[in-house]
Amino acid sequence: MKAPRNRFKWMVLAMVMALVVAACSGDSSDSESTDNGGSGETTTTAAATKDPIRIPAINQEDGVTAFPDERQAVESVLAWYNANGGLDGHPLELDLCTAGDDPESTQVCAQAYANDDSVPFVYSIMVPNSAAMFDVMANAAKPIVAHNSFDIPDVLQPDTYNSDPGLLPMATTLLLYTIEDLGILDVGIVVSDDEVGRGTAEFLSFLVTDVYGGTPTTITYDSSVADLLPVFSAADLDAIDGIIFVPTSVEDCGPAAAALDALGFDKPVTGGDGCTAETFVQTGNLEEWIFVVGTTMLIDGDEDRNLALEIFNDYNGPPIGGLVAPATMGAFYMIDVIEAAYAAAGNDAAAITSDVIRAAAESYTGPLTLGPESFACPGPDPFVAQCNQSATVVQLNGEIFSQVSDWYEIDVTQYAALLEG
Amino acid sequence: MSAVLHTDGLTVQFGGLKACNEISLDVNRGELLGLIGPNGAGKTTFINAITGFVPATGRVLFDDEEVLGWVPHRIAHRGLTRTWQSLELFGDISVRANLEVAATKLTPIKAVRDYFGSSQRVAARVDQTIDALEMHEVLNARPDDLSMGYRKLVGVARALVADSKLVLLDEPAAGLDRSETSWLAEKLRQVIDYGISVLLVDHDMGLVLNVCDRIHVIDFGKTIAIGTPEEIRTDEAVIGAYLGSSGGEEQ
Amino acid sequence: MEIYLQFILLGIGSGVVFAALALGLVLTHRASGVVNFAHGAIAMYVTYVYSSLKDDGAYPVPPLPNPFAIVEGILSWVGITVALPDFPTFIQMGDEWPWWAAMLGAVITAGVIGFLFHYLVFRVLRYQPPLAKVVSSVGLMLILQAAVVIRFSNRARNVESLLPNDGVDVLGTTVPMDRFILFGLMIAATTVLYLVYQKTKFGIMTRAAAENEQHATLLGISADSIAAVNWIVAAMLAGLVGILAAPITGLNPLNMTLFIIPALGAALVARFSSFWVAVWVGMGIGAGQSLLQIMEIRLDWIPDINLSQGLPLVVIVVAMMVRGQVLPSRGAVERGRLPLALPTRIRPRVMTVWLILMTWLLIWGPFEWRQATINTLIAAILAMSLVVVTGYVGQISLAQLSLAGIAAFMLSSLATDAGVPFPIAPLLAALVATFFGLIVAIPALRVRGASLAIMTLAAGVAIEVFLFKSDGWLAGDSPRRVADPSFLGIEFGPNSPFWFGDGKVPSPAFGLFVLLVLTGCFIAVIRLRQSMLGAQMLAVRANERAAAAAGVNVQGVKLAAFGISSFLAGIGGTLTAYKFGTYSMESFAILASLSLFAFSYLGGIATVAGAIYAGTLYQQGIGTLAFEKLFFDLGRYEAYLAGIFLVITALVQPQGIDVFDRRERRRIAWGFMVLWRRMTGNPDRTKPEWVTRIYPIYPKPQEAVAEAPEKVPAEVGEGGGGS
Repeated sequence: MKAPRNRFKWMVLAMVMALVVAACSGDSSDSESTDNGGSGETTTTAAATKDPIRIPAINQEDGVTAFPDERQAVESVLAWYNANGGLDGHPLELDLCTAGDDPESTQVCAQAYANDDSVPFVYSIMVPNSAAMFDVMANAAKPIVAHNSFDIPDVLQPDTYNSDPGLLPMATTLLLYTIEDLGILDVGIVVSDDEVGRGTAEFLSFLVTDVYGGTPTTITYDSSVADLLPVFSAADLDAIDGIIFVPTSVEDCGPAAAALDALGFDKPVTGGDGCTAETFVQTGNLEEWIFVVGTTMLIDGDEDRNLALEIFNDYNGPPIGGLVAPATMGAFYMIDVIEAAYAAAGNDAAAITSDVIRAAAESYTGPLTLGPESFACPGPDPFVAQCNQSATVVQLNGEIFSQVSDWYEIDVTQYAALLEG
Repeated sequence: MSAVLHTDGLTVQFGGLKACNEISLDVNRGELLGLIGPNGAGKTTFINAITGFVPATGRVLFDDEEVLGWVPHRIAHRGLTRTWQSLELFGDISVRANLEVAATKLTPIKAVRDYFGSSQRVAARVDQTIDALEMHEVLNARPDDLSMGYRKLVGVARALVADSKLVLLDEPAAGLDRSETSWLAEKLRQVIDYGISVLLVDHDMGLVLNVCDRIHVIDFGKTIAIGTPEEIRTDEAVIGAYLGSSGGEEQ
Repeated sequence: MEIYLQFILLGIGSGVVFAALALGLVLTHRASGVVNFAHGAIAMYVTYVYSSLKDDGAYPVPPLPNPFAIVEGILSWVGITVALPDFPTFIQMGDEWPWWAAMLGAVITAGVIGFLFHYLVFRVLRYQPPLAKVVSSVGLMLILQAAVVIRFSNRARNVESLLPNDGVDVLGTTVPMDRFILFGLMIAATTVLYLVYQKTKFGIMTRAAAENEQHATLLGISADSIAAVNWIVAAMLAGLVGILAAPITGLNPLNMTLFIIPALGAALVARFSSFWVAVWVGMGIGAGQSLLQIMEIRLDWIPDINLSQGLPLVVIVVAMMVRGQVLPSRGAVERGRLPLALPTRIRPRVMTVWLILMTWLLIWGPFEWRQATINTLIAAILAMSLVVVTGYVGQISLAQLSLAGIAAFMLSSLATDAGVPFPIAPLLAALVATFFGLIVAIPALRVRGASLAIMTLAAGVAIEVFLFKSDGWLAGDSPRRVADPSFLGIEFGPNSPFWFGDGKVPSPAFGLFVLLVLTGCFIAVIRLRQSMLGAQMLAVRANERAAAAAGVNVQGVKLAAFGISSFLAGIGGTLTAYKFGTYSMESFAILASLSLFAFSYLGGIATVAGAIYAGTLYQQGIGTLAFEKLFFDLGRYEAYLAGIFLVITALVQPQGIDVFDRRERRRIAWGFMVLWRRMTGNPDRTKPEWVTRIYPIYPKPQEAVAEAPEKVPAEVGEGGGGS
């Protein structure tokens, strides 16, 4: 008979569905909870007890491209901040909207904040699909305070304040260090074969030839190639005295370092801060590599680093390297902006409006905790979305990063030429 | 020339195997020609070759036009249609739509006009075929829902509906019992009366000997006999071929 | 010349990975006629297991259903929070495992995965058409990827090399030792497999089963156990390659999953049957990608457009052009069928109610419901593009969102850069997508089934690499912009003002505009199903040869289907563009195409109403939101569950939700009615007429609908297929 079998099939199916759904509920509740206050509070200052101030935040963390570590860093900084009195006794409370790697979910998060009249701004932790929130927030006239500019257009987005200058200024800093401090004029510029990578390479090549009279060699790779060895072999490494590696995707650090190591390349290699993540450092392939960083928290022996380690240790933080560092810096920038806004609003949390946040973000200057020596927002026109900041260069030796250069002032105006081309 | 189909030295080669070897055959207008042969004699390959489904050499004159090398749908539009041994009906659309598909020569312009509802559907010819084959009851059913007998009928109807001059029937009686077969024979004679020629391929000797005007016998890809049913009945080469093979198919 | 030889050598690293995956693809195809899109994902998953065992001594437990959670969930509704035991996420066993123990553990895991894939999924689907198999393997890929993301939170992991990588100087270049070792292992493994399959009884049985399963079964060969062994071997091989090659390729949830594309190219050239061809072509693709690196530098006539990523497509297209239908048939009777393309009738009353409901929701609904509705409606249009090409004509296309992306970026070029006004710009953009859709279709005309799926997947990658990632009109790597659409002075973008409603985003104006477009597409595709062209499409789907014999221009019909489908995808793409205003390639990535395909199948890929279900379930659609409101945010579990549902759908309800709903809703309603009568003490148990009028789906002969006339007895049996 057909019917009973069918019914049985559907019963089984229904049960499986119920179980799967239920399992996930159980599962997610225990794996997603990150109780911050749980671990030992070592500091002595009184915890914040007044009404919390809500920080409306978006982070991309469901899906294949995701940044849960960076969110964890922000949470741990806020937990530390609140445990130490918070903002005039008000704890800062992260109101997190998690997006997946589909732009739709980012847009949904942005709309929720745009439509909520009690939300004066949005704090974007790490959102590569940032484009999906631009139009929504611009229409709502609410500023975006963000960590990271992922694409060149990000830095042009009005009413957005990016604390991390993104790929291009960082790469330029590496170039300056490579040419001026290391005296290398025959530079290999390694970028991934996409618009951002090619744009970066074009600009760096221009600097090398026209400003310094050196010889740049652009090496483009694409991530779908399983083995990057041929990419580097093709580049005639003998003619290159040093490499600048600017990965669009952090994941490429591992294979690139492995390939260079396999080829026995022993000249200086400089790379973006994404490569400082623990997983890459542990391979040993990145020994003696040089990285540009915008924060002090990687520099061995620096007191900021000790603070960061303490915060992460006490408040359930993530491993310290990689994009966690700029994310942490961004958290301090965000806190500073809120503090300034709170003061400007007459110490009244309820009076913090979009305009107040905007004014605070626009006039922000000064050294940042865990951050660079100098920091000022926003950048000059047309880089309205970009904070001016300084960066420094560190070298990895025995899994320890030490500072090898002074702080470079990053002047974003020099990238104006790029916008015309 | 009175032949609607004339093949001359038709040869199909699969690797080293000649599935059809220099078959020359004429189907006259208004004739019901039987094509028989033991299993693997190359009957279906022959049909596939003249309807454009396997590459062949030689000549195929259909209605005084060389059609060898044409794509199948062009041959069908020319008026040479066929049925399939395994039916191959269009299972998702109604019986009527099955017939409509075969009855329409859809050009892009016609397709657009039909889409916007301004073209005359091929209703008349479809209705005519339905009347002739008495299949009103099943018009709106989907072929998959029908009995085997009806599905065979739909297959034949689909081949007839396209304004055919010649229909190639590949084993229409396979799987039918005696009463059904005789019903089929009756229908086939009706088809001839409409002025359509038929090339009938079947294992059922009874059907072929009863219904055909002339019979063409092939074995191992080669013609071994041609003649009226009476002549074939007594032809020694034919008897030899059938005894030599698995013997008396379905008899 | 020598330099080119050098680069062929340098390509060994990539080549071995592609070759090994291709080898596994051949094995699984031999085993059960499946093109396993999840094969790269198996390698990735197993490598994560290895890495976790070796570095942390922790075995990751895949997310499993927990019966206690139901109790917890019910209690939490009434406000009681209890913590009942959960499955552990990891099983901790010591701190670090030695490499061989970790490898053993991981490879056993691989074997178990291979066995389960066979036993639970592909054994059941053996007689199903390629569509069901493609969908299932895509579902399994989603599951494995999501399981890794859930357990390891997509942190890239460091896998230490087990092989020495000191440089070896050959032909004037330095090639690390590990490449040669990998190559040697690869050749050794292939030789062993080759010998086993040529010489041993098991191998001969596998080949017999692959060539003709029915005959093999008659000879007393258990096709099942043979397939199981092949699956286990293939999965273990994938796992081993993942572990050994991860130091070279890097390990993250994405890259190894996508190495399947070049591997598919290699397996395709090998017709999914020859080990050596698969291995050498896989190696060849690696060598070719390597060669292109040096050629782009040395030879001026080679354009610098990321050729190496396009190489798999070239291999696939050439293989198809030269060999036509390249997948061998297995001599297994396909008892299963494609989903029924039931006509969706336009019932004015239902349509009116639906439109009123949607209009109300889009104007006065809460803003998140408005956005979810917009997402649903746009996804439904995209799903309709699949209904036309896959549902009606049976051609699997995995490049629909790439085509949508072409229209979206073209729209920006036309409307924003060139100032083309509203209705013209999106229509032109959709036509450009149609043009590219037809280009994709031309090599696809000769193939169908899984071959076509592979071909369109590669085409999607090529569109991404050659069009979106390069500069020009279709560039989409960096965000592109398009202003809110307006016509005759009325603006109807997501941020436009509207007379009614709460004044929040998204604007009801945009929602109504999308609803209008969807209704148009809905009616147009329904009309297509009823038109002669639609009938011809279904004829082609049922049987290409029979359709040709019935005078159907098969290639013309396929082209028409690809054209219409691409146009619909293009319309969906332009709506996506308007939805965001600022958008980039992420919306149109190849993995998003796969997930669109998956959801379309889930909803019912062969019916227009199925596309609406697909849109409802699609990410950030009404279904997601409703679930979130009722229960909780699925987050990272969404992809995991989608994969599971997809596989279950392919297994038990290949018709999709729409046909299930049509068939079962009367029965379910009847069930409720009986329950109601029992509860109210009504003794009446007679079935009303509408209950028995169940939609006929593949009735068995005795359930045949038509009454047979006297002369043709209904029962002839099924032996009529010829002798």
